[in-house]
Amino acid sequence: MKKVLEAKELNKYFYKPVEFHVLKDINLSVYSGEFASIVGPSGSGKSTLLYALSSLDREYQGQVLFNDIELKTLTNEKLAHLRNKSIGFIFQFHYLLADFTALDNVMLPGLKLGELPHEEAGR
Amino acid sequence: MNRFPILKIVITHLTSRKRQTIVSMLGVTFGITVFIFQAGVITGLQDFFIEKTINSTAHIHIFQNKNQKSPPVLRNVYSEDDTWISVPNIKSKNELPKLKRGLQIVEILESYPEVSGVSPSLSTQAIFKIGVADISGIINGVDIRKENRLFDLEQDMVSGSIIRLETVNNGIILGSGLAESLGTVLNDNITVVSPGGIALQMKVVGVLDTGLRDLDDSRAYCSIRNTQKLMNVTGSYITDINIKLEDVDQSGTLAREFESRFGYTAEDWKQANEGIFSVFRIQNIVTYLVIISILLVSGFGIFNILSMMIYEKMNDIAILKSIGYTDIDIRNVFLLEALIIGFLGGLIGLVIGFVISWITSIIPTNIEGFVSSEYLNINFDPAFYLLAFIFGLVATGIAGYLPAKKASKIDPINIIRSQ
Repeated sequence: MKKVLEAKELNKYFYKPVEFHVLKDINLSVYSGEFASIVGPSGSGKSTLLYALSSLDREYQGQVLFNDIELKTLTNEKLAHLRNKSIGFIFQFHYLLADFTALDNVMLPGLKLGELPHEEAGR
Repeated sequence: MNRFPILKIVITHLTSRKRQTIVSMLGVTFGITVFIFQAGVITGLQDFFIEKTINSTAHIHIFQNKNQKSPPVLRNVYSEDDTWISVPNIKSKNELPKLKRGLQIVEILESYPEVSGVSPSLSTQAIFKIGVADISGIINGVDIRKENRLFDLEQDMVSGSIIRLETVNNGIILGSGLAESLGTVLNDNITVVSPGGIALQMKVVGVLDTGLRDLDDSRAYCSIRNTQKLMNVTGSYITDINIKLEDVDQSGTLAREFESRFGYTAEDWKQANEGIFSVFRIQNIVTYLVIISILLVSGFGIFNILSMMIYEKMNDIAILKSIGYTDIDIRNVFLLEALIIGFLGGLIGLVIGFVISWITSIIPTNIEGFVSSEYLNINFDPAFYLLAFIFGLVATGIAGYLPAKKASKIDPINIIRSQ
């Protein structure tokens, strides 16, 4: 099976308010078709890990590879495209765009990607 | 929609905060309206004045400048390099302000293809009397047909006709202000006294109202012959030649040419009205300063509203970025919002500006003063509308770009993590 997501020697520190080592030497591989969940008590760094794996956060040591591409080497624009095409987000809080309808909220990434015509994206 | 994924966001943002959108649009609208109205009124007044001036003054005026001092005669004997000459109290030679061979000059001028009309004239100060009323003014001796071709006097006649100046012996045409102060009407007989003490009985054959107050209050026309009688000079005596050109813009260069060719002072209409043009220049500077400050204020208004909106929409920006909208997309969203506000606000401003200008132009104002005119003359030059619109777009573009740039720099992780 193809390896989709891989973290190598991932280390993450918070510096404010005091230095704190959140993620310690994380090595992780997720394969195509696999369903993975990360479980832990609150404050253990689940969200922080996901932010790093999903390319939003890039201030860590080590490597995150997505389809064998090192995320840190990509420009902002390429990352935005990658997120748009390949990553779906459901945030912990209700992160929805308040001014848009529910349908629009779901459609927005598709609109950006522009690979489906509007009617189909709306269906 | 596919090609413009941000368009939906822009429209949603603008329509979900209608009041904010309308307030910032009103800022632009107000600025553009004032721009259109003020520019229209000021330049309309100026154009009206320039047109009146062009119609009632010659494009080129040839005369002998009496104020030129004659150089001391000693200069003929001693050269400047060797000798210092100091002659106090130099006075001009006692020369009449006559144009020698004036009528020949007129003929030469008429052969120029650029010249559309030439009118020789002579003028003198005179006192106009009727009964006990007397008023001083300037009497112009003219060939009325030629003068009419230059200045279209016929059109400005309030009563009487210009042609009676030729048919009535001792006929005179008075400016409207002059006639009013004298209390004369058509066909009254008045006495004209020259500085030399010669008095002539004259019959009022017309009253003229050019709309230029200064002229109407002091100027009178009569035939060349009668004026020569008043001045006690011979039949070839003329003091001024007025010239109209096919193309007004050539007046400067042709004036120089005539000056060197005939040896008399040739003044073009811009020189003759220099005072007014410098007033206009200052007026224009003030107008543009006011307009620019209004646009600056509305620009800051847009800047403020967009900055606040971006602050409110930090979360939206973070979400949009995490679902794949690039920095440039985000910048374009806010820039486009500013430009749409500028575009619509500007468009409405143009319409309101036009309507206000139009209403003003049909309300009778009866201005009396510098110039008299029944209506306010307003310039509807499309160039102003274009300029105002471009100004508005540029102002909103700049005002929108800065907050939009800031929005594009937002790092989504900082927003999301801080929740």
